[in-house]
Amino acid sequence: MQEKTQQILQDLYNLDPHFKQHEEQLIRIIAKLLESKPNTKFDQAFAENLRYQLTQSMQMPVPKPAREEIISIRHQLVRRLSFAAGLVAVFLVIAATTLYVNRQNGNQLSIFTPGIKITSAGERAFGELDSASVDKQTTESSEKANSESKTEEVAKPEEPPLPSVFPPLPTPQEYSKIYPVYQPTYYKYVYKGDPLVLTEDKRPVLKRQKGDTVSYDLNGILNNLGVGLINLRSFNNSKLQSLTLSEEGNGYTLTLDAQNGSINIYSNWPMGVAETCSSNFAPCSPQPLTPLTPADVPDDATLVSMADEFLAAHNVPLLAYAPGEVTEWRTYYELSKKQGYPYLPEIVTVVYPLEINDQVVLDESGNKTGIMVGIDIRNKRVSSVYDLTAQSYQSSMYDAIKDVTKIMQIAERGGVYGYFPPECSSPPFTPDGRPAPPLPVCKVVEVELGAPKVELVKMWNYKDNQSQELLIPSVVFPINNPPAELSYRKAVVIPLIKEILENQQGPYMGERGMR
Amino acid sequence: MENELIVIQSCQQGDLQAFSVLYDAYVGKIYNFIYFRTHHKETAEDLTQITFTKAIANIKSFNADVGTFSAWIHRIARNNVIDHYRTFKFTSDILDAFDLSTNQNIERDVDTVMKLEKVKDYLSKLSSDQRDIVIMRVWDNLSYREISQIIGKSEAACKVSFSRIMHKMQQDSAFAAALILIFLTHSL
Repeated sequence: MQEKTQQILQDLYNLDPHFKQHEEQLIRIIAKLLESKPNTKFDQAFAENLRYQLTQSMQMPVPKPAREEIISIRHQLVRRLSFAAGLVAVFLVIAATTLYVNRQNGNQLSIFTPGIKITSAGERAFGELDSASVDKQTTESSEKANSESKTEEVAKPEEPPLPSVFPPLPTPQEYSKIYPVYQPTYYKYVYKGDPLVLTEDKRPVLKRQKGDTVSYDLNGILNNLGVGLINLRSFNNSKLQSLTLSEEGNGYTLTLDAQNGSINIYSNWPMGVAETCSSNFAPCSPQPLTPLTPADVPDDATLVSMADEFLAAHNVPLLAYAPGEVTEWRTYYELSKKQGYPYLPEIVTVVYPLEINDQVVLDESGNKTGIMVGIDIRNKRVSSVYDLTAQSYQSSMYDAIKDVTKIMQIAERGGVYGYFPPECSSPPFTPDGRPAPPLPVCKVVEVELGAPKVELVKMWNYKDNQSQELLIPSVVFPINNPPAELSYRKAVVIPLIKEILENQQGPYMGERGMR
Repeated sequence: MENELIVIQSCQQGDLQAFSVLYDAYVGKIYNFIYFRTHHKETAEDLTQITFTKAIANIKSFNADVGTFSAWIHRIARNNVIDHYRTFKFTSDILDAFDLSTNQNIERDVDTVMKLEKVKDYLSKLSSDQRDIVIMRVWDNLSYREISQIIGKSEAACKVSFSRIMHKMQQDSAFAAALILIFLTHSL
């Protein structure tokens, strides 16, 4: 403050030397003005949020660094990666999607752009989406396994009946002796809320930009990196594709996938086992540790706090993500207890749900997706961080479904891949198309659906031997109070993009797959 | 600053990638500049957003021959503050929060209002232009050259204005001290 005061006084004396006669008063006045300078409460979070908003609207990524900064990066990397002395295991945390390097002007060097970036492309810019799907096997096998049925594969009803050389069908008594008794169960999803309204003719599909998200060409780093065994500069137009760094001891290994635009971190310490040495001469062998109990698992608030602290300590920007939530583990634990083999996981996951344009990004089962932080329950520390991905997207408009009746029919079956036991259709039939003998009555379980919302669902479209990661606007019906065997499902999810819905093929059903 | 000009030229040629450098350098200064004139955090944040949005949209109109980028973006911010008060029709003469009377229903942060009580007597007696010069010099720490480019007067005129303001404050201070002395003398 004194320096500032003197500077102002000197300006005044330069203008009018008579001011010196009133120096004491002027010092008091200036001091009072400086003391009264308001605390502006500048909020760094506001600045970051504004930067993100401007980035979205004006495509304002982080600039490329100047030449001086490349040299600085080179010096830092050379110090840390010394091939002449062998690989020096160094733990360099690449915080979230940013590589922090001290630069003279204080700006950051970012390999990936923090926050969400969406660029508009023309209509149908991603081509045909007819092969877009989620992991059908998981959905099919899970629901089949949990319907308490040992089903055989059922042929499509349109196939012509087989000749009568087939042996006569078994009687119910004979049937029950040959095959274990099973209960075909039809889960009927029921929605009783306000009618669903769909008005949009077209909806935006987002495609994640993978290799293009590297906003800084790392060629400069490679060109200046001396490894001592080979001249990297002799390889023209080379680009860094992946980078792995590992910490010695019980630390972390970090992998950066520049092509996929992602960073994963996982622990170097052993999980769930301990090495025990029976003697000084016998080799050590891994021994299982005592099983965990629910009392060993910290409460949700503590788990989220541990994850928050880890991410904050490594400057992971969470602009695009909602606060962390502990994923379901208690439900599966209770289910495993009922089944006679209680299992408590060594790792409990905290998910930071990704949100884009106020829509949550889900998987096909309705589970939230985003940054996944695994917490080692036994050692009470973060053991992994997955799906730190650069959130850069292209947006393209595609024809949307407006037929609410069709959507509700699909919802009643539990979604596009909803399983409908053939025994539950009328009349029941056999693989060869003949009327089946009377079997135990189809069990119908009503599952209540909550009010639907349109959210984004992650799907993959395989084109030209490449996988496109897409976010598809879908109507999501939350499942209220699911039965234990359906506890893995959070929602019934139905894509609203016409060509995706019309080309989805469900498992074999009593009736043809929903169209 | 030479680097700044290079960055600005890149922006003007369509490479908005570079604007982030300017944003990082000025977001704090612009926010503070606006806060000193509105005394309200949320208003300052809103007007800061408007300022940077306008700056990006009009970056091609910036002319380094006319003035510095700092003065240019501060001028945008100042105009946004003036426009902000003009939206309140009954305060058409208000150019900053110092002109607000207590019964006017415009939000201000309470702690700021209280802190400014000490200098309210000094600052409220000044014209808005004079007050602007004082705040820019003492709180915003802007040079006379930048102040002149922001308010559209010559650098010499700004220096003279500031010296007259300080002279006035000094005289008022001396007069007030004299009044206190007279009062004390008569009381004894």
